[in-house]
Amino acid sequence: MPGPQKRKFFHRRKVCRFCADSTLVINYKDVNMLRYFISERAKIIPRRISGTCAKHQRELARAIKRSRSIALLPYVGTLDS
Amino acid sequence: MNHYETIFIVDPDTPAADQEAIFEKLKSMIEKDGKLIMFDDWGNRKLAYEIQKKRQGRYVRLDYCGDGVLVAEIERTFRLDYRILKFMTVLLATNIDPDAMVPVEEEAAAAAVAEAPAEGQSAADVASGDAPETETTVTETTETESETEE
Repeated sequence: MPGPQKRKFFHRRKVCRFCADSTLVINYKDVNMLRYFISERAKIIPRRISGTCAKHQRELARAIKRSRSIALLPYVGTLDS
Repeated sequence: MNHYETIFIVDPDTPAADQEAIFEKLKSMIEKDGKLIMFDDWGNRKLAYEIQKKRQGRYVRLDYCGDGVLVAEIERTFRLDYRILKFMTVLLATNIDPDAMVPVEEEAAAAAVAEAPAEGQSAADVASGDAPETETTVTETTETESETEE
């Protein structure tokens, strides 16, 4: 942002979890880890919310889609939960 | 040869003997044209969505080396068999040496050996963890002081 601009909100810079911890591996079989990155409606949470970097978001999206394909994760989430 | 991983879901309502027959057939198919590295049975699991009106399914993961022809053959048998609810094959690595791949039993033994030094490390962490604990008690006392001021 150029010039003195009044910032209304303080944005906490989110860090990509997978960059911060290189031991974490994105795997489509790890359902519990992937669940963190999908909404209640089973939609993939966007990068701007989760803070994941572009590279890992791509990997994550691929893993979630694979997981859905083999019925480990739902395509459509439930309304209530 | 390539390294593949196939996950398939068997209808849990099929008799155990029939399920075993399917597994044996697959194993022999893989052993003929490739190399089976791991036969991983996850058991019955709840499906994320219904498949053929079934809410549960028996997940089995096959880890093997082979060529595309073998994959095509395996997937063809899956399509013909109505007891297979769903299957998915993932290519893990290309142009690998099947002899270099370690079968499951040996891998498990190697993991057990690797675990022993890891346990020693965790014990050291516990010992060094005493110092931060005292710090937390200090912060607690300051909090109580501020409460009395109010």
